[in-house]
Amino acid sequence: MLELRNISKTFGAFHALKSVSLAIRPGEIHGLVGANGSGKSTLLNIISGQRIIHDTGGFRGELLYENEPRRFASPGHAIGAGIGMVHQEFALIPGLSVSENISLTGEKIIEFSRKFLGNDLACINRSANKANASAILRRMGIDLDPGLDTGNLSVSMKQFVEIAREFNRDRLKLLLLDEPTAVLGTDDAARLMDAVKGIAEHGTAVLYVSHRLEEIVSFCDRVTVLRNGEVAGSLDKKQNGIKALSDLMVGEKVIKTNRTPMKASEKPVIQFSSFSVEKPGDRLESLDLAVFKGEILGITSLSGHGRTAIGPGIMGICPSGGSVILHGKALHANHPLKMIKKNIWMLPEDRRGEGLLADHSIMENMTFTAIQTQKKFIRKTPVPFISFPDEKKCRAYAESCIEALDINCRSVFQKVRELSGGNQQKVCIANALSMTPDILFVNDPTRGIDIAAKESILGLLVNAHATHGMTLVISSGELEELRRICDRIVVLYRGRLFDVLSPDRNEKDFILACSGIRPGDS
Amino acid sequence: MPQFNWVPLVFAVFSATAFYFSEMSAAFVTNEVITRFIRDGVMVLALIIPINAGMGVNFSIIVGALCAQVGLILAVDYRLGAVSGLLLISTVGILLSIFSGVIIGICLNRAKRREMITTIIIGFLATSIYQLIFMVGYGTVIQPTNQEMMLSRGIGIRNMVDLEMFRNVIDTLWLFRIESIEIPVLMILCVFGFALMIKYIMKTRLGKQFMVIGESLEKAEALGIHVGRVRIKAIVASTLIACLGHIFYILNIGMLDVYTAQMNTDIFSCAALLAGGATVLKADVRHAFLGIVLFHSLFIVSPQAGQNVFGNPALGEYFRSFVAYGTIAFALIISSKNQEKLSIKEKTVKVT
Repeated sequence: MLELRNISKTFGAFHALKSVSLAIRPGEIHGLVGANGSGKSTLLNIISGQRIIHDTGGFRGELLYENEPRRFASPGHAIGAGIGMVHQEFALIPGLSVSENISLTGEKIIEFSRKFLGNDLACINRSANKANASAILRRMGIDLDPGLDTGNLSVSMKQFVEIAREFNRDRLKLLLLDEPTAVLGTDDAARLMDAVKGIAEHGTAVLYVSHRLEEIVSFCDRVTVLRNGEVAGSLDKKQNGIKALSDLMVGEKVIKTNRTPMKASEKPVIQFSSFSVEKPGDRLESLDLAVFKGEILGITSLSGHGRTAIGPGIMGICPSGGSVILHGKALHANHPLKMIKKNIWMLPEDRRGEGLLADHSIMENMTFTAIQTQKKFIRKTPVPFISFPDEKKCRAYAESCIEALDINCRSVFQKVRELSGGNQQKVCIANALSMTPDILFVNDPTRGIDIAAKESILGLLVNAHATHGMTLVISSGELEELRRICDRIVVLYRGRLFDVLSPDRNEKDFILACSGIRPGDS
Repeated sequence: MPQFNWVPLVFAVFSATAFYFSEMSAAFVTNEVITRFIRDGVMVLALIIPINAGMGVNFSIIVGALCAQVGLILAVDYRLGAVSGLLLISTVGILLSIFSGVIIGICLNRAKRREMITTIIIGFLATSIYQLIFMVGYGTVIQPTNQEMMLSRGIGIRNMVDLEMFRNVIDTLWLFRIESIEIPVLMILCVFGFALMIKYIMKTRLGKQFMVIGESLEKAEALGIHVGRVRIKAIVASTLIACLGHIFYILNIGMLDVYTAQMNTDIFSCAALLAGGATVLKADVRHAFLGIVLFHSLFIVSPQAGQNVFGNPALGEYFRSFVAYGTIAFALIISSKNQEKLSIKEKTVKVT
């Protein structure tokens, strides 16, 4: 049915997939698991022909679909070939009824009108579509009136409608499910899996991505485990068990501890209670947490479970609720400028978009915020209200940073756009250090950065922490990195605090906690 | 958006007040509104499809209007009679507007999410090209066969071209009178025909595709819709309808104001549609009809009301432009607010 041979994909210098091979037979339900950043989404994007793959230079290796080498340039081509994909984010149109959504792009039309109006303009046979939709829903075991407006349905019903639409395709041969049960409760998840089993029995192959290991174990015929873009192993129905899977996901690693966790001071520097943040695609809900002075706090979760929301929430970039107490005083997070004045700063995960002025020089980027908000690097004039940036001081600072942070560049005047991801992150850090913040929030500091640079960036953060005595809150999906440098690690699940773990805990405990399982449960 | 739109209500109040002060007769205003309904109705309908396809207000319907004018000038140039003339006008207009619609569509595909400002500029550009051809090209590069329509110096077409042979060809068919109100039934049916056609298109596969790309380009892409192609189709349909609508407009007037007839068609149509309660994200036929009636009744009575209240008709004129641009600006601001609200709602869906 589908065979992948030695698929490799790079984004810039970053290897997302390294020679991945995989085969799926008709009627097989094939599981795909792996930690964050192990390359699952990239693999699905390649199979379903998403534009992002095409736009970033395609992939290497062979994709055999029905024994023919294929390379889908757009999702349209993949759909035409009989590949359906259910997305994590809904692709439903509110305002259309359930049956209209299910039949979307595959509407039944009145044959007679097609003869003289063509496919696009022919009369749509509404009753046929409706009958068809209710037949599909019934086959899935869902009791839902196809005439309802999709916009008003519950989240789990939406997920069912989404899947029903893929079932509706005439020649559905391969179905890609990207965490279809992430938004469902246990009962609904079971119903959904029954429905998927139903189609698999008709010969459709299913590639099933999920973080819920227990589902994968009970449901899939075979499982492929990805680790750091490589196939870590492939298990049969008989062999697989939650333990075997999490062993494979973790792999054998020698953990280098860069830093011995320090004894946390008793004094909380910042205290959150019922703190919620509305960050698009990454919501945080009623967080109760105290951050102690001088500690390095790690925050981890699967993507979309809220780990990157806390920084933007406190800086006032995203709307937030609840209360925050800073140095014993209530804080109202509403504007970044106020927070900067209170010596709080955040390094965003989207460096190019939010953290840097890409077309300006390294020097300007390192000193911009300090000049604008803290009146550092400024040459005063006798005239009040008029002052200029002190070019010399700026340059001296930039040069010292380039030296100290080991930034690879031609000169302080080079544009930041031309630097590699790792060096851009270093420039961001230099900018943060120029303000000597008390508390620094860091989001995904090593995302999209090659291994060597990752080490030096982690080193820099630890150094900055040691020399300036600042409190660091680092959000990252890279568990291993957090465990090396943090004093405590907060695990979020579905936007809520799930557990606070010590970095010495077993890595499997972390993986299970990220999927919402406590070690005692399984 | 089950949100109540205040715009039509405000317009109704304005119109009623201005009507009261203008002291015009109800019959006169009704006649005028019917005329405007026929002249501008189809033009307003032309805006509906691109709005639903998420491309905002298509200000380049002005290009469709120009295509119609090209057809009309050619018909006058070759001194064609009523029927053969109409045939030529519509053939030239349709072909030209399909061609230019495709080109505008390709341009807009390169300017995603900036469609509205792009269409405004495309409209300006097309107008200047048009002026260049008929002010300078005619008589130099292009040799006219009909010297009567030329300026006396031999280069360029006169400002006004009389369309005597077309006058009252179609708009007096099936003319009914109720006391002093004239109702040209055929023309009104034509406008309704266009409205039905648009309603129908929005219910076909193509219409569903318009709706999906209007909802989100990413979703459409994920559903396997060729986004670029569907967007071009939306613009072609809009330009084509605009062209036919402008033919209606000019034939109804009976004179072709060569260089200025197309002026403001885009702004006034847009204002009329928005006055009817449409937004730049969602528009329906009923918004168009309600809007035409409300907007144009205000348009008709405001100069006279200005004369009567302030002793100055110019005030009413200014009030008109204020109303037209004000409506558009208001609708744009309101719709961006609604968009923010919607996106917050969508966020809450993700994690439960």
